[in-house]
Amino acid sequence: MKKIIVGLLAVAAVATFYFGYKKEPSIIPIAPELKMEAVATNQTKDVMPTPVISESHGESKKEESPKLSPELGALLERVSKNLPEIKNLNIKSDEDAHQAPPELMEASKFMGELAEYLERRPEEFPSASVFYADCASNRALLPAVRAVCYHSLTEKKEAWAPGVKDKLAQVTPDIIEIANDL
Amino acid sequence: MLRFEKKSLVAALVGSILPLSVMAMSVDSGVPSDQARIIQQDQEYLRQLNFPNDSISAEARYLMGIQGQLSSKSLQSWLDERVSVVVSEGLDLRKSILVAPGTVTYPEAKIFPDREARVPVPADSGPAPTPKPGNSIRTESHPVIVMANMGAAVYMMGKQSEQLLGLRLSDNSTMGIVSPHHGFIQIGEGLFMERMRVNPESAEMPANRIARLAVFFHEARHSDGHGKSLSFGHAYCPAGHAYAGYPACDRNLNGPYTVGAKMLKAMGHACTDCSVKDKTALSLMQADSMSRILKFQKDGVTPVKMWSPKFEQIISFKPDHKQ
Repeated sequence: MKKIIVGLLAVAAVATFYFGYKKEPSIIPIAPELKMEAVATNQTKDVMPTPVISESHGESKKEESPKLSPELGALLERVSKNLPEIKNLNIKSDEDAHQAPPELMEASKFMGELAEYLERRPEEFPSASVFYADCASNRALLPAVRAVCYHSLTEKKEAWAPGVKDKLAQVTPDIIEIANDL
Repeated sequence: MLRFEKKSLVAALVGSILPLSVMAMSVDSGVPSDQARIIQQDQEYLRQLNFPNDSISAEARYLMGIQGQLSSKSLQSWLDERVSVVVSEGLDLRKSILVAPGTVTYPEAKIFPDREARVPVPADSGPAPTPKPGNSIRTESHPVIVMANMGAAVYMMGKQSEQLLGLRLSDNSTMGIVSPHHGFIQIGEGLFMERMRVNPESAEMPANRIARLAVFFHEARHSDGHGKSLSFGHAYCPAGHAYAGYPACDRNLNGPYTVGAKMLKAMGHACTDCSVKDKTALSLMQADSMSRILKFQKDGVTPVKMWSPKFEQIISFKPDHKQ
């Protein structure tokens, strides 16, 4: 009888262990000190907010949002201001629409600058991953921009900041398809 | 306005009916010398690119219908087959298009690409923002030409009017448009504008050459097709699309935007002196082209397919000697 009880307890312990790990992780509560705040800009409200991360107190290291260096912060602000929104494209003729719009070419310079910066400072990618995720999921932006933002993320999954995966769930299949072909 | 020319055009057109021979692309003397120099240097740059034998090359090869390996040689041949001459935007086509007096027989005479009804441009596309210096390709008075395949357009005009049309070039030579495959490409200042550069440093940077070459490949695709697929014309981007209301999408899997995208990818991949910044910009252009490839027919259900790239050529022409 004793052996049966011990055996049942062991099975129960194993089951608890197994199902506990299999359960979908609950959303990691973010301490009040780790709120993401939008930085006011002179642009429309639809422009990407530059993430600002306050100091954390006592949170475990893996749950902290990455710290944003001033240099990267300034760069992300410049990039954000120059991401083209569909409604702001200056297309007035069939000829205008036929090729990549000048607004996209302008944005490419800033996005290229960001890519080069992260190539030199890969340790800062987690901070940028939040920007890329916001970009990829922002339906106001040109699909080409969103796809390149998504593609920039998929190449470095191991360096995503917390919350990036959830944001990417909002990216539509057409964007993912383009990104996968880049 | 169309003009009647007799002997020289007839002779040129009769000569053009001979099997189309592939000659290297030429640049009309009316093209400004600086533009002509850049165009020719771009072709030289293409000839020295080394394309690895990988899945990127394989996909481009398949979609463009290139036999054998994707290489600078096969790509140059592909272009030369579809582009005969590059002309300037200054060439007044209304004065340069000629009509050959005679009877012409076109293949699939009554078969033309389906004409889509124009989709309205969204009302909330917003007023044009105050133009920043150099931020728009538009000048104050007119849209700027980047590149256009006028050969396909003129061939279609001839087929619709049941006439054989030709083109008088800047040096007074004439060229009969017996097939869209002849390909005369009109370039404009938009192709060289600083604001349209991938790399702002200079027009000669490799990334800028790749971007211009990709436009060439896009336009060259318009030289293909027959009947329903003649000229691989664009479709109106549907409601909800970034370019809704404009003929700036493709409703096929191997049209100009696909070709342009695949060439951007292949050439960017082969570029050994492109920076990370350059490659990011080229990726954005590639993504923009791909975003214009519609996946379904107008019914929203039937998937689109590859179109036949087989090209048309007039069947016969009998000069009118009753003058």
